[in-house]
Amino acid sequence: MKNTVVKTDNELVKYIKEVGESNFKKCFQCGTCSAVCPLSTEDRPFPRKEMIMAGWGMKEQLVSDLDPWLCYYCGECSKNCPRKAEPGELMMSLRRFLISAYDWTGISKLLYKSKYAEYIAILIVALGVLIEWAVLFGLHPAAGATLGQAVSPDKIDYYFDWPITVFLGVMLTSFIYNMFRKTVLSDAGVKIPLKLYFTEAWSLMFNFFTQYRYAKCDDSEGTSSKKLTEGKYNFWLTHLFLMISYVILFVGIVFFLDWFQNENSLPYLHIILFDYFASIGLIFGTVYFIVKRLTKKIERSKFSHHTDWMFVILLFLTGVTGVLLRASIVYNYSVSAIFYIYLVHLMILFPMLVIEVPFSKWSHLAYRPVAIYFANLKEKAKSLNNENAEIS
Amino acid sequence: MDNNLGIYICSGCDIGKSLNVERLVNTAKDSNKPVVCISHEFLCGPEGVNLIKNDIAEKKINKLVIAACSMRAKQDVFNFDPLTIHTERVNLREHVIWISPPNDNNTQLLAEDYINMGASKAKKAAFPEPLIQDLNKTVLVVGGGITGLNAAINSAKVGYEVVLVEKKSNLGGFPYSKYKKWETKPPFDKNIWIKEGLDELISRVESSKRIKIYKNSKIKSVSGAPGKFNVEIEPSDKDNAAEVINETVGSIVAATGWKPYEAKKLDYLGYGLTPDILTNVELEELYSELSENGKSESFTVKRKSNGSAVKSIAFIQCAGSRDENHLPYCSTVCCMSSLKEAALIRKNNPDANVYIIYKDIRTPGEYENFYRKMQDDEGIYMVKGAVSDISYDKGNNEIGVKVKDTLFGGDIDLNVEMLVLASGMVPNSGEIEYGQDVNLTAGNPTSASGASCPPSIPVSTAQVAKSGLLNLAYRQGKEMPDLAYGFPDSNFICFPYESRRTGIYPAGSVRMPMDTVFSVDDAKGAVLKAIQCVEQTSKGKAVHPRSNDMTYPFFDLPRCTQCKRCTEECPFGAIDEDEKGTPKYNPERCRRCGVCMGACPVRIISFKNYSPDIVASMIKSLYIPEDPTDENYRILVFACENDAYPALDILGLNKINLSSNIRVIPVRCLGSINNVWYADALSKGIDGILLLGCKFGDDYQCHFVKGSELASYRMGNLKETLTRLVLEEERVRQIQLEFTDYMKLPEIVEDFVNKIKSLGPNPYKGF
Repeated sequence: MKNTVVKTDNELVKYIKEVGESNFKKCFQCGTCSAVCPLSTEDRPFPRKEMIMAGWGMKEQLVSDLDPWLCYYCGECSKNCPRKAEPGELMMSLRRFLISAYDWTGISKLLYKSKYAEYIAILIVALGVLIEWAVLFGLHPAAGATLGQAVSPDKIDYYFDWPITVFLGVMLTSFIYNMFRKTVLSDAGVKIPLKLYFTEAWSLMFNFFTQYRYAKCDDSEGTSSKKLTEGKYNFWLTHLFLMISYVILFVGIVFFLDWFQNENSLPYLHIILFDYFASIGLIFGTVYFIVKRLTKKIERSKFSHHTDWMFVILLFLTGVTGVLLRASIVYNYSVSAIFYIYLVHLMILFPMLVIEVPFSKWSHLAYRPVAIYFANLKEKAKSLNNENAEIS
Repeated sequence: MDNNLGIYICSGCDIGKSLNVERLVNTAKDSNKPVVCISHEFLCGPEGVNLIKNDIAEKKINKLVIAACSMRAKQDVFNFDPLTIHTERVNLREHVIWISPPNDNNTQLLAEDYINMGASKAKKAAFPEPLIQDLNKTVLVVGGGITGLNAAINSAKVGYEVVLVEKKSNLGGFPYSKYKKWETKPPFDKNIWIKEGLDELISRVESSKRIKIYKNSKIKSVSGAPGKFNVEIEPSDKDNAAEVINETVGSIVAATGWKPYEAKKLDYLGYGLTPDILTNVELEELYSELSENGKSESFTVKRKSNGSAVKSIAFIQCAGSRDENHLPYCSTVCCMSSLKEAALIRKNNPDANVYIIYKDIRTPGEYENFYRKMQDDEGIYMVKGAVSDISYDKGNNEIGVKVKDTLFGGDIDLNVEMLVLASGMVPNSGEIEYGQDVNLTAGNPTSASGASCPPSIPVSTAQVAKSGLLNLAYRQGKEMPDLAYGFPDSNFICFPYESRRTGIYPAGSVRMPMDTVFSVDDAKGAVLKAIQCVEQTSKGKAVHPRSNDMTYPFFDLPRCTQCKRCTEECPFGAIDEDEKGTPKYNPERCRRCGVCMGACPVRIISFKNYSPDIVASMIKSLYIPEDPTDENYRILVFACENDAYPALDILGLNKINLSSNIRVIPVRCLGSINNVWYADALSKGIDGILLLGCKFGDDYQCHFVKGSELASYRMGNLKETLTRLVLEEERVRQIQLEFTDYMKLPEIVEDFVNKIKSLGPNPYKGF
């Protein structure tokens, strides 16, 4: 750390205390957490480092820290902490803090601080959807109209799909740029050559689609196949299954909406992909996490913030109403039944997208692989610098 | 004096199976001509004990030799009136059959030697004549702080008169005029009014009929001995013309407390740069001022420099503590006190950020809960690190603190408005006198802090170079000797409260740094010791560690050469001297270690049952075979009764074989070994002499402080004598042994026996 005058911020300490259940002030820096962490390295001694930075409310250092995103909350640190200071939970709290720090609108902070703020925000979006729907399609389907006439896929595309895609794209991009600015550009010690951004891009994709670091969370002895049969990869694989399902559905709905609205036009492969794989993934995944959060048997599900609950429940309801909607189309329900199911589905889906994606828990889907990418960039750049220094 | 010797050999506990008891009885009869000599298969049973009792009654046996188990076993069974019957225990079990092969000639010879030595000792031993006196049992308590008040009230509670001397005009000590203390009972999570309970304690002490209080007073001098100390009390204010008052007391509890480490020595931490840098004691004083001595609870802590409310404050722990250049020790209370202050700042100045820079946070025992509570406060920031620089920025009126090696993984800088140096406690154990006649050399590290760390005393003398507290009229100096760093203790672990001046017991933070809670208990402990001392002494019995010993040394003064060795070497300052240097022995101050007996070159000091002559006759009774075979080597072992002898017992208990060449003589302390015994043994034909005694040095374990060190020191002289006799100096060896080192004994003994074998037999054998 540079020898700069330390600024402590007890408001920040309070905020971090509020957005999680870690007793990080209890830490006496023994370092057990970093020693047992399967992912922590000598250069990145998390979560020990974060424990004291949080304890001292060192805003500057915390905002530029990528390490909370490198943690997958296996809970080994919390299990072994002699002070029961819950370092794993602190990393979770810090991810919440970071989400609110990247968000320049200030909405995240509001949502994390107060569960009522989150309820109200969701209600507002749901009501907005209702009003928009009423304007576009009315509150009843016209008598004798087909589904295509009652709920035009074009209108859904124009007034729902495209705007939300653009909104989410703009929001997330600006937040990620904010993150880039705070974690990479602000670090005067590292200059990243432009070439690296491209050569390291594979790691972004690789980590996004495999969440491979999750597997490293278990560093016990044994072969991968043994660990698989012992269920040590269950959490990772379920999480991956849920994420892939979500991405498939999101892409499918945004770009190929009419396939979903027309049973006949859906190609066979897509039936398997969307109707079975992704639907099962979404519902199985959310149910799995809800059960874990209710039973609280494993470290990572021991504590649940209200935003955790909101995200997983909204996602589950989105899945259930989506499946119901698809079934009602496939099994030729009355147009009016489909009309209402469609409305309910959107009133759940949109709050989930508008609130959770940029401002809350969902955003880790974007931040985590990006953070790993940034961390890789910095590390590579540093080792390049060192090599150059040695040569010269 | 009739010498009616009775030798009783037990054949129980496999002694009969391992030794030829019949032969033992016969040789014991032949060598010692006892009135009775019999064996019994169960001597400690009712039948065996009755047998002895009948012989005492009918055959007037007054010298018992019980050859059975260790003297440390069955003390309750072989318990005869020591004033009329001498009981000599010969250890055939632990020191013979359990460590030697059974039914072996060497084992048999070992047993025979031990019985003969026991019988010779018993024949020579006289009965103790205890010094029973009617003594004063008043307890003098020096110091009226928390410890002193508790010592006084507890002594009074159990019926002892108390004289309490306090130098200030009020009782209550350090906390008296302060603000808050940390909670002293679980859950230790809040601060309470410091005088809670104190006023009541003071009024109880002041109203007690048994307690006589001298305020504004100090001790001019203390002379005499336990049970008859004469104390001169004078006004502490020199201008006061009041008279000196004399009091007679039985024992003394020194509860003189502590003083803060000198703040100006903390200039390396910025003390003096600005009035905003202050010590922890000064902060306490600021609080008493701000709270108007506790009358006000709502006030803001303001900066001394400009009167604005403090918004950031840093505490530096271990300021001048745990530092070889200052106080090398931990004062145990500064961490708690800083945490308490941090809580107070947060309460009075809610916006303030409080930083605590520590080496280690030490909150002993349940105080940990208080630390945990303070950790949780979002405005209190703690980090381990070393302060590397403190600067003062006059323009911004800010104090810069540079901290290195922090747990942040590097250095940090802090800018604060106020800085508190948490410095330590220095015992009020008297001030060093730099006189010409005081020898302060002999390898003493004189520390930079001067008063706090007086130099260690050279081995040969226990002269104390301090004064101003008790002002003892003792030959060895005016104050109690220090254990370390100015704390007048004897041994922190083994003998708490015991100073090296019998009858004087330090308690509270003069003994070791402690807070008020610990001081309350400390006062009780010291009072119990003080009472024990006067009660034991009036019965003519020794205090710890030779509790209940009724013997004391006798000085045959007409033969004294005034060499002053005894008066210099007595570890407890028991012996004064007159102008000519003739020892003036004070039996009440004596702990009966026999160091004086060992010191005396003309052997005029002896106990009734332990003397140069008695041990010489024990050595004389040994059978020394002249045939120079391996098993005929004879090694004499002087084993300290306190640790080495029990270690030998434990070795026996573990049935681990030891060389049969050794013959063990237990001694009160290695310091009681008179050099004449070496000559006696070597001229008798003993091939080597092994001394097993306690560890000495800074963390000594000697029960009599300097005994084992003195033995080693005196061996220096012995070696010259040996060389003159053309005897190898390696024939005498001293080993420092802890009780728990018993497993090392076989190796120690074998190593020495082999060494002696390599030197060959003693050439004086058979002369």
